[in-house]
Amino acid sequence: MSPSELEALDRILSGEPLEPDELELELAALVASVRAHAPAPDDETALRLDERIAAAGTRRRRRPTRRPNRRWWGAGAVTAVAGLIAAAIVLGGGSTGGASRTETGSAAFAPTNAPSVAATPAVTPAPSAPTPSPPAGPAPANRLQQRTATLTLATRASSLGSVANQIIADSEQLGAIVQSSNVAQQGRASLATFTLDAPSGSLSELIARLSGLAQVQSLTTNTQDITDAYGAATDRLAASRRERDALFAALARATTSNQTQSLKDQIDALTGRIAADERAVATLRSDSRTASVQITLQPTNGSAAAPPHPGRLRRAVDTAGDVLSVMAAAAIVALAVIGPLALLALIAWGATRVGRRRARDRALERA
Amino acid sequence: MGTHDGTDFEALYRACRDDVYAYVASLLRDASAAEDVTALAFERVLRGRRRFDPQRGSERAWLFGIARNAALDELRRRARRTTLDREPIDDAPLPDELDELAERRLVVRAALRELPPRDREIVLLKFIGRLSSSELARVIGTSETSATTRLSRALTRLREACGVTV
Repeated sequence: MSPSELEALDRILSGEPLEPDELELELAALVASVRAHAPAPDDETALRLDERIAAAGTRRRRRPTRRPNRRWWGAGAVTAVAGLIAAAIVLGGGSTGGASRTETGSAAFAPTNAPSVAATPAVTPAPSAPTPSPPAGPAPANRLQQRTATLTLATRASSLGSVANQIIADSEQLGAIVQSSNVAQQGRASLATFTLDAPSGSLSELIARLSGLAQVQSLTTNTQDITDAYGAATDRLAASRRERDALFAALARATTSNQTQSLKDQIDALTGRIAADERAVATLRSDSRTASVQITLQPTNGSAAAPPHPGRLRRAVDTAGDVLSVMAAAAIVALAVIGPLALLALIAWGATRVGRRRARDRALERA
Repeated sequence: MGTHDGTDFEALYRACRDDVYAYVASLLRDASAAEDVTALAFERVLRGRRRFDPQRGSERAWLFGIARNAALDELRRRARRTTLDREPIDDAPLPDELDELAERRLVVRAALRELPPRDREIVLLKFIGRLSSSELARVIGTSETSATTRLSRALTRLREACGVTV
């Protein structure tokens, strides 16, 4: 059958006027014969069909709310199950990496002083410890304490320079003196170290503020009571001074040149010892007033450095980041679960369609 | 009966009821089953008319696709049944039809029955469903070229079977 015959057939079927052509007339007769041969519903059948369709339309109008498709129910159920599995996996595995990251991210110290103790042992927070203990507060009355702190911070390599500058700025703002600093920026090999002398009274606040600049990797504080040493040094100084006064008195009473020279030698030696004792007392007094702080700033693996400014905003951002990361992890696990299931469902759906089509074809062949 | 996207379902039903019945009855050769399948096809159209996409063909073609699937599913069910209680369609000519036209129609009827089922189906879809080539292809699940080829072959066979009578 040529395309022109097919076009003629379409014209005949659409009811267009026929060409005075034998082929078209033949085709028209064939169409008319086939259509005339086709079974037509009798009046009773037509009436029953009308009633059934009218009833179906009425049922549809009485049920305006669409029932959710069962396929959507199935998809929803699969998604829910996958979500539950993902949540269980994520929450179950959260005690390793996730928890550790969260804890270090929130390891900022409040600038409040902890209850004072005479001497506290060194505190080195383990990586999994959520909140390292803050340094001890001011020394009790009539006690002298020598305090030291070693703080290791971590931040992104790209922001190491700015954090280093902020460390110096915050330290100086709190009255600390930067004894030495060394900042080497070489990507992942970047490192910054600082040695500070900070007023003992502001050590807690300094540690708290510096802890907010980056992740706290470790913090070691040491408080040593030097009251006895200071007392011994002052006692020794006082004794030396008394001895020197006695020597001066003896010198005033000396009558011979030998006695005079001997006393002068003793006074000179004693003067040197007094000077040393005075330096020792001054050093101890200084040690009680200033705390030595060693700071190391190193790059992290780059994913979760703390923001440069501490406070509620930073904690909120940290919390939001944690929530988002947990949600992302859950989504990844859910996708890992849903993906194969969806693939299987797709294959089953396609196989069902193909199978149904073949079964219909077979049924047609048998008709 | 409601409307959807400007298409009046009732108008579609009125326009296609007899053709759908004729097509289905020709496939099933069972008046009772043809009535059920015709009703089922229109009910499915009524239920699923929100899913109708005019870009994929006319509503008439969509209806005939649904009717075809329903009729073939009925054939499958019937094949599984051990006993048949069909109500055969009475296609014997009426006494007053025994003229030349009636004879011609009897010849065409016989020629249709001699056609392979696939050929007979595509002729029915074309002549009764009045579907275009693309709509035929979509309904029977093949390409437009293949559908045209099958139709052309079926018409050739039908005309050959009819001989010079037509």
